[in-house]
Amino acid sequence: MTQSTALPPLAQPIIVGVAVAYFAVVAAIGVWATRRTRTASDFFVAGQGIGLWALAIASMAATLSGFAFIGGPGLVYSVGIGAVFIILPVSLTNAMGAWVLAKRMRLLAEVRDMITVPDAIGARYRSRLAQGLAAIAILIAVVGYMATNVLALGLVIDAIFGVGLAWGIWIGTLITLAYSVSGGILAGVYTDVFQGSLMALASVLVFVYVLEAGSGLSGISRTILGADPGFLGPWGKLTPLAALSFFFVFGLGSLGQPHVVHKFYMLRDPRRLKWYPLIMTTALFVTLLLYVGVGLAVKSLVVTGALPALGRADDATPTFLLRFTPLLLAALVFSGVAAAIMSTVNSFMSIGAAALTHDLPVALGRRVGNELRWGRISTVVISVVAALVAQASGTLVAFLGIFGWGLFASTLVPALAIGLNWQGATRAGAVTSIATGIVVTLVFETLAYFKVYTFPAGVSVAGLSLVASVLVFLIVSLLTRETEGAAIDADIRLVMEV
Amino acid sequence: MIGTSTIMLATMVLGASRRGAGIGRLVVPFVAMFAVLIVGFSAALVLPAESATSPLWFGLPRRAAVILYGVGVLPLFVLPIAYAVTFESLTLSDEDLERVRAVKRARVGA
Repeated sequence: MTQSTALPPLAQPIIVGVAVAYFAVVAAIGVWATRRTRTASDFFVAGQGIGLWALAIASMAATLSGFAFIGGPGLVYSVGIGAVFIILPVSLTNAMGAWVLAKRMRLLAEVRDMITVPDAIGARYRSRLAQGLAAIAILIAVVGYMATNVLALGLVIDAIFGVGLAWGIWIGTLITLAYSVSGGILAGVYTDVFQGSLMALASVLVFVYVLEAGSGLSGISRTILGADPGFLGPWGKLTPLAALSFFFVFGLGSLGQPHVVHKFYMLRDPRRLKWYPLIMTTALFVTLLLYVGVGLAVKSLVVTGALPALGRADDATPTFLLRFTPLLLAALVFSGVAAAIMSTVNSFMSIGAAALTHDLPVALGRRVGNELRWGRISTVVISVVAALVAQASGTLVAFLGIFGWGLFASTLVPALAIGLNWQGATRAGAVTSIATGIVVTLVFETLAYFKVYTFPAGVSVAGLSLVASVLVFLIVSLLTRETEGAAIDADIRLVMEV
Repeated sequence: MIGTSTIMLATMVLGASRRGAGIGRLVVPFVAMFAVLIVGFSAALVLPAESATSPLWFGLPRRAAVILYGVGVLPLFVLPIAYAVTFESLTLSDEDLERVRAVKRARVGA
């Protein structure tokens, strides 16, 4: 999910100076990584050479987009505790991802030198069709999801430098592209580590000011309870069904996010996965303090009259920062927002380019001659397309972002997450579930976008398509099990059994 | 509520299960976390709504505290630690890794 409305102007010398310094550090990391990127393996999986902390912090940074800093606090300000159900599954998802995917993905890279998520699907089912369909789904989703993130980046850059939204989009795209196309995922991972650390530090510091501005969490609660008790109810202003739907979609759907799953290939030593869930979960928890804290604090400050009611919910974070924190901290957070978006965009560039350069040719029975060179070219093409899409209307871009997230979840959770843990899964089950995910997501998101059909409150297309694709996967696999019982290669079977 | 909690925990069990060995000691944290989710969501549904003078639990109204601290924070301390503590015995031992690497060596050699 991403930010898609204009931010207040932030063009003050300290904010501009910190932003320039931030971009300079990112550029320096990009130059460093470029010198170490010599092969397609370096470009797409960092040469399988990154450490545990880099994996965990980079995964955290890629997981959180600008929504965690701007849209999320705005949503808390609007609907109260119900908005927390989007991030609530974090307490479960990293351990779940570790048990379900981390070991198996890393061991697949051990036996087959894999570089993409569709590689794993192709190997699991011995199916170029399944690999190709997964690559198509990823490619479609990447462009949509990237467009929403690039738009958000454009908004941040416009707010800081006052260059206009269109130029903000192109400047943000070019900066991210510069280090992604030259240093590949190696640059991406190490800029993610820097960006993730910045995000975590900024979030903790802001949370301290949240507690100070609201006279502690008890003070914030007392103030809000006196004016609007429902806001602090367990579901906030949402229905229980809507809140639990968030929990389900963002919980189970997390297993199908390729920009995070893909990073398991990169870990140098698989035994280091032992501490991955603890580091990743703690990093996410700390970084999400801002999401909850700012939304509640701003609501409380509006109730007491210390702040006027916000015209737009997305102004919650900028308004709080500019009024209640030192300007240097505000500058750090605004750079942190850019960091969050850029780290997500970079990951999408990498997996999109890999789908185009590696997976689709493999699905067609061909291999690209120089995957490193074509990977770089593909990164540019995908980024330009996403930037052009981002120039379209805000509602279309927001639609594409939602579409992208749902498409990732519905196409990859069954075939990848369940399929790597269930030997009864079949090629037919994988192919039909991926196709179901693409069709259901595309049809129902489009119907909802054009208001032809609206789901009852609390039911989302992402949730529906995820449930549909899982059911199709299970049913078709059970129906075709006898005919495909032995269709797993010995090395893949071993990875599934250890 | 029950379906969501069941699916999340069932997925974890699926991932943690070893062929012929089940989930071993992990049954304890998994059952505990399933109970936390069910009790937490149920409490949020059945406990009475708060007023301005209701007592706070660690700075939050009772039902919100159950959701945020119970469902949102408690598993954070249990599941990652359970994963780490059982890693060598139930997830990936040196012997497991050596078996996988031997397969690769055989494959490359062939």
